[in-house]
Amino acid sequence: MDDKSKITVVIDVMGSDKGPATIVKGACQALEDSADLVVCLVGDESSIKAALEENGAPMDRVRIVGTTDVITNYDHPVAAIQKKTDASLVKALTILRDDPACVGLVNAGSTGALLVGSMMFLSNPGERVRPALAAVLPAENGGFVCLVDTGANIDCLPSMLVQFAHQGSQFMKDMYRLENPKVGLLSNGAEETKGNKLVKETHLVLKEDKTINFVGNIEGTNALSGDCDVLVCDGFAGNQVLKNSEGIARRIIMDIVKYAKQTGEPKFMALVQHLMATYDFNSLGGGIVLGVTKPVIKAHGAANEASIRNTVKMLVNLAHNKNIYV
Amino acid sequence: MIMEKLEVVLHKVNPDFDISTLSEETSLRSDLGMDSLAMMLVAMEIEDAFGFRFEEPVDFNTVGDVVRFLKEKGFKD
Repeated sequence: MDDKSKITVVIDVMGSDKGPATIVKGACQALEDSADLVVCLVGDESSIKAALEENGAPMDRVRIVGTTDVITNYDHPVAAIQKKTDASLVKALTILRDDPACVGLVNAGSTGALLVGSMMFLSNPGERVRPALAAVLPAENGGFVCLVDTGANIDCLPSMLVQFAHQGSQFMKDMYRLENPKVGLLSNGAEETKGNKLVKETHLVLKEDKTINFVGNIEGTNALSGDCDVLVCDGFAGNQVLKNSEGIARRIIMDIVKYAKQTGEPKFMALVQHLMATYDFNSLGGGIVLGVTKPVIKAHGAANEASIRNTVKMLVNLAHNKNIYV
Repeated sequence: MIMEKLEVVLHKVNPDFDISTLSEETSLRSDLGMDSLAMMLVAMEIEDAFGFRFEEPVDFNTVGDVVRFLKEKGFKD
């Protein structure tokens, strides 16, 4: 395979809860999954090299970019992106912007800095929009729901929700090749008249928008039913949906574990494994930054190697469908 | 000139705001509802509209603060 047919994913190995070794291990697992993948690992060089050696990485498909600084959750995102010029995230974003072979970026550090940096480095004058953070969740019908926004935009205006609807719709076309993704608006009732001021005003705009497939309001109980492919809401509500879903899934799984231990039935443990594989955040990859010129994925701060592997896989799949989205 | 360009920038960042009510006293945060990400977007749009780069992170409170900053940079009313 020549270099031109390979795709490069940039991975910022710094800033996560579990440290560079876990991120590099996930990157190495992703390399095993995809023969056309190259990873560009950005961060502390000695930590990267040690982890690569430990995992027996195919070095012909690894690039290392050493950096000396890190942006942490204690840094002010805007100031850090502007001032910490040798931070791993700043370098990673620069590489992604400037190298046409690079198809996306994974980061498990500061969400605020990632959003600010993505907007600064990956936007074109005249087309610049406020980025949104989306999550792709498994739906009852076997498909997926793109929930947008999940926390980047807490206080929203109707125009922002309309923007999220378009961004989510485009993402689902690129990622899952859906021709006409169904777009729903999270509300406290399916009827058009339900919702707070923001939802009611947004509903009126989306209803008239012929460029997307708006299917109306969606209640929380149907958020993951598959009635819509894109579920639009402000970041406050989206964050509650996301974390509440995680919490309920964990609660049910733990109840089944308890029951399985009491009854000694092995089939229940198989069910637990299936549910963990389906609903654990490490299985689902990360949050997607929408509204930028190249894909950027925010992995969970506590992401393990499986999460990084799945996140890189998302970018590989996206690159195979379409290299660049906005 | 400055105010006209600013109106375009602020409308772009917040299309829901009634731009006819804009004045130098308008607060970017409380009146226009801008958070730090929106302020960053405003700064980038100002850079493009006026053709310069901020050398330091900026934190404007009101539209008047932006106007005064731009005047100090040499831009004309």
